[in-house]
Amino acid sequence: MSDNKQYQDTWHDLLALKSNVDHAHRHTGLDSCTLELYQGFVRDHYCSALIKMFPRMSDVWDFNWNEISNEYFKHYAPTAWDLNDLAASFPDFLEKTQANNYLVELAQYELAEFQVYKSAKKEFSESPALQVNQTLTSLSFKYDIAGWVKQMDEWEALGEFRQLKSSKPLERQNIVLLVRNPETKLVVFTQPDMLSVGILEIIQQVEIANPLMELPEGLTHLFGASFAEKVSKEDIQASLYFLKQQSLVI
Amino acid sequence: MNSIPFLGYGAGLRRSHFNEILSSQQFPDWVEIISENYMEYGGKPRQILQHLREKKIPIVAHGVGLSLGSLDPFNTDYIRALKELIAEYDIPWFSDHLCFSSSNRHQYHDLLPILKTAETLEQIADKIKWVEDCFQLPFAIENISYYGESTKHTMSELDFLNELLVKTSSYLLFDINNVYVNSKNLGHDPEEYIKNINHERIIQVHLAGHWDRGDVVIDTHGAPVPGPVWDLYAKFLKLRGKPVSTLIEWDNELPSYDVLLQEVDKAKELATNVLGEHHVGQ
Repeated sequence: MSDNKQYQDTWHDLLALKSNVDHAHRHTGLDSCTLELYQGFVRDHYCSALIKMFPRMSDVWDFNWNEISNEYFKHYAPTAWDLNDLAASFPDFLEKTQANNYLVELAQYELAEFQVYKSAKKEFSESPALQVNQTLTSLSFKYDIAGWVKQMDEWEALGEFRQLKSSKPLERQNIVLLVRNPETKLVVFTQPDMLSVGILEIIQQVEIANPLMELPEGLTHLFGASFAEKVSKEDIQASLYFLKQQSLVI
Repeated sequence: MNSIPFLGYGAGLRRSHFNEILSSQQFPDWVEIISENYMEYGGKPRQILQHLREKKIPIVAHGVGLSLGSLDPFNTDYIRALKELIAEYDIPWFSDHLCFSSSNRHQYHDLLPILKTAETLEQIADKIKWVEDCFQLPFAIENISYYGESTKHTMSELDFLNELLVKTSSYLLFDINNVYVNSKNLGHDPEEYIKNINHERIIQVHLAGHWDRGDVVIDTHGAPVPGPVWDLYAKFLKLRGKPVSTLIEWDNELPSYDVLLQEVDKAKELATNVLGEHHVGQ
């Protein structure tokens, strides 16, 4: 093995917590204090990346983040070149560790929030047709995660950390839509009703020139005639207005 | 060197200044971005770059993830994303560090010191030649700060860097704060380093602050440029005798945008004092 290969393999074992500083000292020729310093830097980058990606989770969860981080990266190798992307499997990891379901869902929400923020897609194209925000991400939850997030953010702004720490979401099956606002570039969530979800799905599938004429037919295909018959033109107009207000449609 | 423009005095572009930049009429002469914070990103990061491009502020890409010193092959997704970023913003040159930040497919997200031997020199020179060929754009390597010397080195950093510049066509991004930090931690003579580095290949200078922890000086980029680093910059300019694109790096404990611009002005003022008014505007 070449000197450089041995040098780098030794660093790898040290930073992946597969060997100790004494071993690394013998094979890199670097003193133990220096190696400990670097080991600390790297573990700190990993741990900080998780805390930064899951800020509300770190507010409500009392676990030792250094331990969790070490355990996570033992099972999910840190192979992403974007530090933020290292967190991509954290919700899966939580699920496997049998964390509370609502914590898993909170992790899924916070990860999706970042992914929508990062998305390389433009929110809308130049097309004049009715279109759905390209950054749209849909999440299905058993708990009211979006309502909990909103409440947590308000408590945090007010400095009410005790309330925040002891809080839990309500159990309620729901859908949450996340999009990036084309003006502010901030990520916003919406909890839509069934009609709005249906309209979004139709606009994503076919080009709509005349919404009031074409959407009822699409709703019939999607949900059946009995649902579509109960939807008035005013309902469709109100739903489209809501979707535009929420930056979901333009 | 003739094709390399002198960009003036710039600042590292950081997320917490985005909104101030969008509403401000004041800009540094140029900005440097951390490439990985923009590669494959849309939204606000892209909006800022487009805004700066409209304002005709040059953008230079400075990476932390190329991992030139690693024995792993280059990550092809990374290379593609970096090429896309560079092509989109008319970037005049790009840079990364003389270090390895990954091995065995693991990313460490830190700049780790290479083993300075003839074998490593050949390996890194080959990688740089590949980068030069692939990107067809001026590329610069930066001297890093590091916190210990391996007993297994067979070359000094100065010799290693100068030799690397001979073996490749790359340029040097000369970080004067790193020279100072290394001198404090490892007992190098910073003035000897500044005197003997290959000045002809220096394309850009970094200035930054650090944290003296007592037992070790850490390159935090979290404070104003301290006096001894300004002094070294002045000595460097005097030796060089001509201006060089200079950038203030501030990554932690970020000041307001106005204070950052004042630090940039300070660099320009110092260069004016050392070189004279007529040189600085070149």
